[in-house]
Amino acid sequence: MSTSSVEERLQRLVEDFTAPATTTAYRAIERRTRVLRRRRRVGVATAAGVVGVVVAVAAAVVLRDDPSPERTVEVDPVRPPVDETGMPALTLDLDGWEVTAATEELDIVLLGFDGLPPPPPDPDPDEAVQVFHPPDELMPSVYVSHTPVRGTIGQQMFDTPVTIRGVDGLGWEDFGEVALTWNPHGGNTTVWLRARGLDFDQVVDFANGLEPRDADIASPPGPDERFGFETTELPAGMIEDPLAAERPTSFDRRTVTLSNGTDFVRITVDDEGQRAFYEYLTGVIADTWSTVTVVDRPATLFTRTYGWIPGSPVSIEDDGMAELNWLHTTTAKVRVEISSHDEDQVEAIAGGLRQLSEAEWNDLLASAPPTTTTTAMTFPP
Amino acid sequence: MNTAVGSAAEVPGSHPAPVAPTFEELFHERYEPMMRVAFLLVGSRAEAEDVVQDAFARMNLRWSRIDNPSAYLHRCVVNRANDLLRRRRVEQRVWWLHRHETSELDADEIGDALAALPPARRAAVVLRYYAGLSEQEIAEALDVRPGTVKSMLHRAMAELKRVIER
Repeated sequence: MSTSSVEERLQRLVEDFTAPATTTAYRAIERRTRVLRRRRRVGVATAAGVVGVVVAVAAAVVLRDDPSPERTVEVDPVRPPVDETGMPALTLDLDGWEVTAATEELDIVLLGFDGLPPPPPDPDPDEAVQVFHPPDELMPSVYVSHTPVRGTIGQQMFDTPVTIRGVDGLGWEDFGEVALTWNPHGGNTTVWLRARGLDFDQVVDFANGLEPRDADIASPPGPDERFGFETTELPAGMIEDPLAAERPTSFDRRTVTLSNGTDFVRITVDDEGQRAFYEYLTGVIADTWSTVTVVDRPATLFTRTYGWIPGSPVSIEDDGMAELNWLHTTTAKVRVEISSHDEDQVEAIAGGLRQLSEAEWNDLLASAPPTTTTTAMTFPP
Repeated sequence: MNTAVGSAAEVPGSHPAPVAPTFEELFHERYEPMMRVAFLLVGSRAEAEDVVQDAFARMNLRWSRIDNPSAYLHRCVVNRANDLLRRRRVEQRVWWLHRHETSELDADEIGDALAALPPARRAAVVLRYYAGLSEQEIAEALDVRPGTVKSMLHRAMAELKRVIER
């Protein structure tokens, strides 16, 4: 069979297939855009005091009430204590809860659908990512991505025009997350900034305080031009948390699942690194956020409930989960998923988490199969 | 400042064609061709619509960061289509039975053969022989090396030939 024959036959397959670009289709795309956007950005810092925590709103209020919100940045970066055993493992010591499974997966590689390792999801060697938050908490937090320009900024409904250091940009606020984007360096670069636990004006002030590392960046950028921002001054209490270089191409993971007969808890530890940790948090959809301390480390607690977009028939299903996330070491991140929103139960679970020694972990693995040694995960688009 | 998906009062269409297309212009230009590509990949109008609208929405979300919208669209459509095919792998041959009765026999044969291909090879064939993409462009859409595309197309053509001549 010739290639021209294939071409002709494929053309014939769809010759009676029409799908004009109608306003209805356009509106459907509009709705989907908003859903996707919220899925990436929804998060509300609430005053629901769970686990005896310092709530993000309170932190924001403190910042708002501070008569001199700008001060010199602290020198020491946030660094969680390094666990000498390398890859940690955790369990839950709580009456009524029993381990139902423990697994260890080594050298997990994210694969494309054809079984081949994909390139990075958003390969951009020039991109500078910076994260800011208080030394002992993960909120309020600001995540900043600075890249070569890839187009102009598209204004959407509900966006608010802003001016950042004399450059026009856009901002929006969805369920407590504030986001800004603008194209500095004469339009040659793009900044995306997302913040939780700060109000809109505070975020705009924060953005205006970012001093570009390089005053001039060409398009495309030259080899010596530097992306990112100097952070000599930040809102009171916040510091920059220097990120480790890059995401690893493979990682290990330890998972422990427990049940009390009604609910379950899944504790997942992996060494995918800091950047993956913060990227995950910026993409989470949830309706309540708060900061907590778990195993002596700053963590976030969020709950996922029903989501609804005002003026739209689109809703986001409730999965009824609560989730704790924290960086346990410089490379190991922990996610604890709890199949319940019950505050007392969440508090008890947060207080009952404990790090295992390697000997304990090995015993747990031996007594609670299954255990795997190598895993390949299909990488979604 | 260009406008991506705009306010509810705006009606897409009738813009003069600038050098760099706006989101609306790209929508008008590429929606139907992408629907046809998606239809060839998933075999159902409703699912093709789902795939393509999702791809446009994802592109809209990142409009200011995409330097090659057409390539991005192809990649999104292929990825979403493959997701969908993974979910209904068992059903993947059924759709062709529901095609219009006006379809020619040849079309049914190639449709069956196409549906029998693994998703990645099917995407390679559709992008190469229907959408007319180069091997380099297909490699970008499928996240594989150009040499892999060549190999995929070679195997796909062999399988198409085997199925049709069976």
